[in-house]
Amino acid sequence: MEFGFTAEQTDLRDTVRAFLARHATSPWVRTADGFDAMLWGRFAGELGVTALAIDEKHGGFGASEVELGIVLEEAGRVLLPAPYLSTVTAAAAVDPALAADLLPGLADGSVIATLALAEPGAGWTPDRWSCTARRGGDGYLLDGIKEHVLDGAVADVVVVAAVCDGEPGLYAVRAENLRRTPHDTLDPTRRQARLEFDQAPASLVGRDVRRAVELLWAALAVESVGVARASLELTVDYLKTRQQFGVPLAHFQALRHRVADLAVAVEAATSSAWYALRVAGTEEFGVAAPLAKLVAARAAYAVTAESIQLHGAIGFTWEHDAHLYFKRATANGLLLGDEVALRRVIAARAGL
Amino acid sequence: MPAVDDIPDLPDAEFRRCVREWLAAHLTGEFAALVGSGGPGREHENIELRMRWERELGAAGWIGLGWPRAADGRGATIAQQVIFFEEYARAGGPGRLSHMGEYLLAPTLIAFGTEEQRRRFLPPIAAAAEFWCQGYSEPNAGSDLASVQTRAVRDGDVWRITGQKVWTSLAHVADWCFVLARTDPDAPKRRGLSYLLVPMDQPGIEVRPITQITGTSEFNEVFFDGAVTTAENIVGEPGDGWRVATGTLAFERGVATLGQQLGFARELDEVFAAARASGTYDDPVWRDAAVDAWVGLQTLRHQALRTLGTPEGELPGVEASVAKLLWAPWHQRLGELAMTAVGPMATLADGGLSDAQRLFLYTRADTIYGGSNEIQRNIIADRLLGRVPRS
Repeated sequence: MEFGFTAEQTDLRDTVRAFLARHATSPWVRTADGFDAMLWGRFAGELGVTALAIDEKHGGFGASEVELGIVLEEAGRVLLPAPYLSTVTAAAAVDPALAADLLPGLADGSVIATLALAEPGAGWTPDRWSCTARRGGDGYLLDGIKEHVLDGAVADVVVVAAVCDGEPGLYAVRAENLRRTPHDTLDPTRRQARLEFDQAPASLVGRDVRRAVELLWAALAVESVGVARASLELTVDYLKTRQQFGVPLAHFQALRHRVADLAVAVEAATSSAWYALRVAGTEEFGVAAPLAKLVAARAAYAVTAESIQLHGAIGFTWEHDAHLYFKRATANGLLLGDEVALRRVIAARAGL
Repeated sequence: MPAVDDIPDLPDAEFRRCVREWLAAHLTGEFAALVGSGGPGREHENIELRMRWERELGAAGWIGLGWPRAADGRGATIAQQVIFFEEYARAGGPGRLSHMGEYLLAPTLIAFGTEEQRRRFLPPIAAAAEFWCQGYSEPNAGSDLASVQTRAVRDGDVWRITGQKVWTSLAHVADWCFVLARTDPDAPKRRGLSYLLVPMDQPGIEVRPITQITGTSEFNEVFFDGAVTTAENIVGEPGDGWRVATGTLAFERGVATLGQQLGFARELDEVFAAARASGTYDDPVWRDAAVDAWVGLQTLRHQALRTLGTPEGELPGVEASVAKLLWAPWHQRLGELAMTAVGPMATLADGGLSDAQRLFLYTRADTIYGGSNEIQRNIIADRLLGRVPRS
């Protein structure tokens, strides 16, 4: 099974990393308040990263989940406060045959999109969702409430999971046709919103709700790998430079072994996340995606929590970035189902 | 067994079919008794028959599959080696006895040995005509392997070896031992060692079995009292022993681990079956832990697949340590889960140890042998944080 990257893929990673290193600096991430329109324009427009996995006939580059994963991992490394994960997962979840009008805007970055799945009190369990769509107007009318919609306050189009005549589907609703309430969030680098739909005009853009959830799991997994790797690097750098008892902290075996354990967790998470992306087109994705999310979010949490401890008191301060990584890792662990919920999904799907 | 020349060019599916058919045809007759034997906690079983089985494997050319053609191997690709391990595990092939020669000594000779040494020693390994054991650990040199005290002194045409090795697996069946011995007591610790190949059947060597935590015996103490080996049986130069002994570790990329994981999967299935029989499986708290073990096994597989599927140089270079730190604690946890699956019954040993008890006890060794988990953490930390200067 191929896990290596082509020269083009490596170039993509280098380009994205260089761009983000220059523009998505810590001070900027902190002031962006979840979204910076100018940066988004350059990230999507100049780099073309929103077009990667969209078919060429819809204005994309026709690449795969692997290219998306490369950018998502890099985005995770800098806690990119831009609606990248939201937009590309929405684009990947829709059926191109039904969403031909929507995709070109998603490809060129002029349209920001996001998936709206969870509902108040029902979380991410699809059979408990109660949003409904019915035929009306030029297409469909949508009713209900969605919660925890990532970047929901800045999205131009929301792709909503709803049921029509007992059939689950994905429906696109334009921002002007819904009511949104932005949340303040524990993780300040990614905002969420509550969205209310009251006979909102909608169009059917996809039927595979299950795959939409799986794509978000895989995306959160690989992003969490980036979060974990960057946090571990930050910690390693600190241990090498911070002196106590006359030597760098990196000399103490009590700390060295903890770093080794974290590195093992990061390697394992990387393997499971990339395995999921490599099988995204196969039946295996149904188990590989929740498993990757479980393993990667757990690793990111372990690394970022230990990062605070290994930094000592400075890691507990607002000024230091350790808490931003910790908060993103925490949010990624809880969104789309926590560990227990994911184990339940995995057990059911694997027949355990 | 396909014709040797064809192996590297065979499509994977075709190669898999060859392996599967060969195993189905040969793991029969007297060898049928070996299915599932020699695993964790059973490594002492059926030794004589398993030696004959090794010769059966060797005669068909399955030993040395991954060695380069130039070294008398079959030049199989990594994917093919993985397939062999998978099919071997799937067929329930018994625990191997020739692995120390095939996977530890042979790569060492291929990397550091002379042409004469390769010609002398590789064919009998491939034929299972000679078995090997590893003479590294000593009572005072465990994790601190460079503290080896066993002495070897050049005496005319021979090396004379005096000292003691310990935890030597299968020394009682081995024909040869690769020994790390101190040839220059005045040199710095790591520079005074040499890597010697020593025949086991001689008056100067005594092997005493050590009874293990399982009550059985697979490893031994080996006493050298003026044991001899001829002067040419040294790998590398005198003083090169540390470099030779540790050099081959870096080549390990975990080909064997995918096959090992099929064994793990079978053990996990057996734990699930025991829990279903005892009713424990219906306890949601127990089941959550069991599902987590299943998740852990998938991650082991993903890690092995990624290691094998990534071009060399694009990984941190500590894959063997990462793999060990993932699988050894996982396997240990499986042993614990196996015990809780049957509850208080696991405290009884009427008529001998159960499979669950063997697994539980044996897996305590997993985090110790082959470089303890603490040593593996040191290796990874050295890579990430740099080595600590010795005061």
